[in-house]
Amino acid sequence: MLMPSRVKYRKPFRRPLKGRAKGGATVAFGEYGLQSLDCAWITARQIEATRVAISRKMKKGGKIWIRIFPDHPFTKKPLETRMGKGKGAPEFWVAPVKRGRILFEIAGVSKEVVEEAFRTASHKLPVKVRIVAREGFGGE
Amino acid sequence: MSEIMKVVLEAREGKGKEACSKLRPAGYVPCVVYGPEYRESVPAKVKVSDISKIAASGHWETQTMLLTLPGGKEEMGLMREVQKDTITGRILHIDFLQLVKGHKISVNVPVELVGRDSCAGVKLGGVIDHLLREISMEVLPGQIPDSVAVDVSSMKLGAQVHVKDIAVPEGAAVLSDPDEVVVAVIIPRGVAEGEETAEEQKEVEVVAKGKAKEEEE
Repeated sequence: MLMPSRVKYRKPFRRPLKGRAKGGATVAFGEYGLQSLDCAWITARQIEATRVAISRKMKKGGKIWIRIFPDHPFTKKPLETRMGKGKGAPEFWVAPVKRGRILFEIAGVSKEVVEEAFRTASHKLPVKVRIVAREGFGGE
Repeated sequence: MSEIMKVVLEAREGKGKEACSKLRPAGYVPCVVYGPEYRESVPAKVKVSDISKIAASGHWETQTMLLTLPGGKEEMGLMREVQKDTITGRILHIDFLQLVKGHKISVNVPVELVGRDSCAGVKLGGVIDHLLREISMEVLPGQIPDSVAVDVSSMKLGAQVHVKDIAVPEGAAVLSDPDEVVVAVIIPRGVAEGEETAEEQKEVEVVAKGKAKEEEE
């Protein structure tokens, strides 16, 4: 699973997820992209599950780009613990995603395969998504 | 070179966010015209229906246009920037650049791949990796190519085409790095399904160690 090799702080604040993605909102590498229409913390496990789902549909053809990286630790308090006594321990890593952000990109396969791969991928993600195409490639 | 497109620009009274946001529901897109002969840019508006088709295509940057400015003056120009809403895809603003005869300009020309289906490397199981989709070049306004074609039909597995290998129109100077790879035929990696189960979390190094110790206490 994706995670950073080193971080500056173990337990940073959870910044509010509101507004639109400032960058990474256009298809930059591939031909088609999967765009998020909601704001959410997407976990490293969800990203990995989505990547595997896309890879399975694409078989051996094409190329995938993961446009988000889970660089933000998510802390949790142990079960049946009283409140207080400091912030919990880091449990997993998340990618803060704002609406409009391109999550994955694909190139080198037909539009039908892209649609099928992204349809399966959408079931692995906690956000509403849509398929977007690079300028001049058609699509939505 | 493609055919010259005619676009009529109308006068725009208000400037700024409020005036522009009132224009858009009325079917107009705010725009500006600038160029070497203009000291200040000219604000204008253009009908969405006139411009949406070319703005959705991948080669709007190389499409020369005959612009009718608000005063009735006609200028040659091209679209320099198209701002779009990332979620709705609606056009928000357009920049038009004035073209002056004999005055070279830099344009990003799209690269089109020819013979993808008959590529020798793809038949052997390779994948075409289109790395550079636009080539920056300096050309005279009358010589702007619509696109640059790259024939990939004879490319074998592992073959690469660099910027220096591409034939550009006469008189055009390529500004992109000549050693940059435009297209390559790569060997795809297999689907790594076993990685899904590897869930153990590695220790992450914390740079601000003093702070981390304080937190733990």
